[in-house]
Order: sequence, then C-alpha cells, then structure tokens
Amino acid sequence: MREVAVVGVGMTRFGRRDDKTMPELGVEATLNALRDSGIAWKTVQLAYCAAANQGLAAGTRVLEAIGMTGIPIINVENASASGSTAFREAYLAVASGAYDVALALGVGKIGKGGLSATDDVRETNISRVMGLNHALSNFALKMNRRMHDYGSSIDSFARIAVKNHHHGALNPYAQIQKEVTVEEVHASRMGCDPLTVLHMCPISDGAAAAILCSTDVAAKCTKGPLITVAASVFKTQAYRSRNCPGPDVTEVAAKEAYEQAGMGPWDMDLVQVHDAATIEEVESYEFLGYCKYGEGERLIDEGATQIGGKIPFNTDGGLLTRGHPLGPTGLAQIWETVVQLRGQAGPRQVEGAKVGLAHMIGYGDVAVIHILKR
Amino acid sequence: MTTQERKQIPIVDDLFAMPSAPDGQPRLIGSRCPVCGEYFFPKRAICANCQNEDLREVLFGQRGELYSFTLVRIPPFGYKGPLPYAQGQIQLPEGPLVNCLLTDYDYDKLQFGMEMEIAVAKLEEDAEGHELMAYVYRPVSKDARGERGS
Repeated sequence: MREVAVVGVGMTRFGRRDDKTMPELGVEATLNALRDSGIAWKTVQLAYCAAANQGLAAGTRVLEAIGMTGIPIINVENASASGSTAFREAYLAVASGAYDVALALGVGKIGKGGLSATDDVRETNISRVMGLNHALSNFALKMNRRMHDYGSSIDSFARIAVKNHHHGALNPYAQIQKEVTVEEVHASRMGCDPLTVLHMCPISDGAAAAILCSTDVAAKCTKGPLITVAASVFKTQAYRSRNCPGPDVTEVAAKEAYEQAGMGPWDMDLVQVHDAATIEEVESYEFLGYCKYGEGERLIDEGATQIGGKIPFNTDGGLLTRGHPLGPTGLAQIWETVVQLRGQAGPRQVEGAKVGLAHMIGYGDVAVIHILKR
Repeated sequence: MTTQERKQIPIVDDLFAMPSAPDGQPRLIGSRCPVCGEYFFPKRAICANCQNEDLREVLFGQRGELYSFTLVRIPPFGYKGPLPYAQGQIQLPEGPLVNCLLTDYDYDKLQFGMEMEIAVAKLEEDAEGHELMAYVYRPVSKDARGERGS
C-alpha cells in the first residue's frame, strides 16, 4: 500500500438548506474541494458518494452537473458513518495503486421527517414493541445508567454541549453558531429524562467533499503542507454480551489505528468524534484511550478537551453544532482536520497541530477511524 | 361485532407467548445455543457468538432486573399515543438485555436493579377491532406501582 495525500477539502454550511437541492449542495462542496486542491475535474478518476435516505444514485445526480467524464461513481450508505466509509474507500483505491486521484463526497438533505432503517412492518412493529428506533430514549437510558454506575453529574454532559457550542460559534460552516451555558442546556426542552434537547445534535442538510491522490500527484498540485493518511480503520462490533464481555467497537478500531500510524492517543493534536448526544463524546474519551472507564467526565470538567486544552475534541463544533446530515458528516470531520493541520482554522486554530484523528459511529455499531498528519 | 369475536393478538409473531390464562403472564421467546451456551432475545436462527446453526427455542422466565429507565416526553417520529411514557431495559438472569415499555409504575419509585415482571398491554387495535398486544414490564413491588398504564 502506498502513501495517500488529501489535497483538497470543501463543504457547504450545514443547517436547514431549503435554498438548495441535494445535488446543488453536492456540487457546491465538490467545486470547493476541487478549487482547494488545484485539481481539474477531468483529472479525477473515481468518485464515492456517501448518502443516507437521498433516493437512488445520489452520486450521479450530483456529479453529472459538474461534468460527465465517464468515471465510476459509487454510492455508499452506512448511516452516520457513510461519509467516513466513502473516504476510506477512496483512500484504499488510491493506496492500492489502482487509481491516482479519487473524490469522496457526502450529501444529505434530511429535512424534518424521521429516519427509519426499514419500511417492513414486521421489522418496525418489533421496534415499537421494544421501544427501539428512538435515538433520544436510547441515549437517555445510557446516560441514566452511566450516572448510576459512576455517580456522574448531568452538569458534565451539559458541559460537552457548552464546549461544542463554543467551538461551533467559531466555525462559519456550523449549523448553530451560538454560545450556550450549562443552565441553558438544563432549561431547554426535556426530551427523555434527564436528556434535554440541547444534549442532542440537530437534523441537518449539507454536503462535504475531499480529494485524495498519490503523493506524486500531490507534489505537482499542492503549494501548502502535504497532508497524508496515517491510518484508516473500519470495524463492526464483534459479538459481546453480559456473559461474553468484550471491548466496544471504537476501542478495537482505535487500537488498530494507533498501530497503523505508529502513534498513541497523546500524539494527536486534535480529535473529531461522533457526538450525536453529549454522552457519546464522554464515552469516546475512554474508548480512544484518553482516560479509564468512568473518568471521561473529569476530562470535560477540567477543560482538557476544549480548544486550548490538552487534547481538543470536536474543534468544529461536532455533530452537536456543526450539524449531522449523515452522509457528509464524516467528510466534514476530514475538512476540519485538514484545515487545522494546514493552520487555516482562524479563531478555532489548535496551535501547531500536526496530527488529527476523526472518528464516526454508524447505526448497527460501526466505527470508522482516520488519522491524518502533516 | 360482538366482544366474543374480539381477540388479543401479539403485534409481532414469535416475539412472546401470550398468557394462557386471562390474568397470567406472557413469556418472551428466545434462543439458546447448545454449543456455547449463549441466550438470545429475540430468537434467531444462527448463534451470533459461535455461528452454530442448530439453536434451541426457549421461553424466558418472567422476571428480570431494571437495568435502566427513562421517561419519554419527546416520542419517536410518527408516535401518536399518550405522553409521557416510561421505557426501560430489563436484564434477564439468562443474559439478554431487553428493551421494553414499562407499565403500572410510579416513576419516582423506580430504582436501578429492582425486580420487574413481564405483562402484556394493548398497543393498538387493528381494522377488525382485534387488540394488538405487546409485552411490557412492571415493578414486582406493589409500592413502586402506580395508576399509570395499568
């Protein structure tokens, strides 16, 4: 496998984007990534398009508007991890030597409706009986149990929302660019006790894209620092139960990613994680190796994970405020990591950032981790 | 339609066995792997742990411990029933963790690890007026029971 560079990133602002169609959002992000890379569309040899619930052939619907160059366009769906999966597939295509230049694109217009994994009534009835298929209540159950097991305070989880609102307020592409206080998080509408709506990410529309290429191609087009992929790992949860205990899928993926990169958790300068709910970021501190189980709350309480802290997490605001249109989310993490490693993040800049980790979880217990370095 | 014709029907086949008597309790239907000993709910054809394809159907016991719980005030998309309602997770002694709706509870008296027992509750009626039933759990302790959902 050869080294792969990320030479261009582009995205749209996330949020309610009634002003544009899904393909129009995809075109905007792709053109931004192409311009950023200095690579012409006709040079791109392969495209992966991540989209969840966007109808048939999302990728060709977007890219025909840019130019019908005859390249393979492969649609990828892996729920929240769709964008990270598309990035990984593009990485593998270039790393293998089969292609020199590839696009990873993510598009999503989620709108207001609910997302359902299936329309088969035999499956949906089971979800209703078992109270599944409700992200809010599932996070609340997890949060309540964690507070019981570790004596955590709801304030610690609220501080995740406060921190990520602070980071989002510094990101011009974030859906929510507004500071909140712990008191405001507690006072927001109750969803499922004790989880108020400000503990949850919003529903979003948007698009994000990255251009990957061989280092030979990168040497010809990049003027700035060379950003390369130091690790790419994809795992699904291996079977575990009370009687057969085992590690969380993110722990397994992280261990392998650190091995691939030849680095440890504290070699990272910044980390992006899947914070669909505040509790997920606290858990990720533990799964990614920054502290022991039950100590995640201390990291946020001490301010270690804010910009300027020991290990900044979700420097672009995370799912909580940058937004989460599913397909594009993992690529928005890549966008933020590349911008930070180039030193172009403005008021969000992590001083001297050289290595960044991006982690996504998808429905069905999927974890994808990438480490980028300059 | 006369009341005699109205039947109580499980909302999903093969998920639980309806009580044999009107005041009886249902039983969750699951699987046990005779090779590795794992128990599964709902039942499945192939062992998730060791891939053995010869699983045995089992009926779980009627009690378990309350692992976690929450009071749902913002429901899933499309839900039209009463609010709020409690949702829980029951740790079965055999191993599976079962997500479920709760019934007959005083929310303020629910406690982690408290003993819970299974019951059936009507979720909705179908076009013929038959009652579509789901399994639910309630506290064993009379003190933790309330009027809600009973």
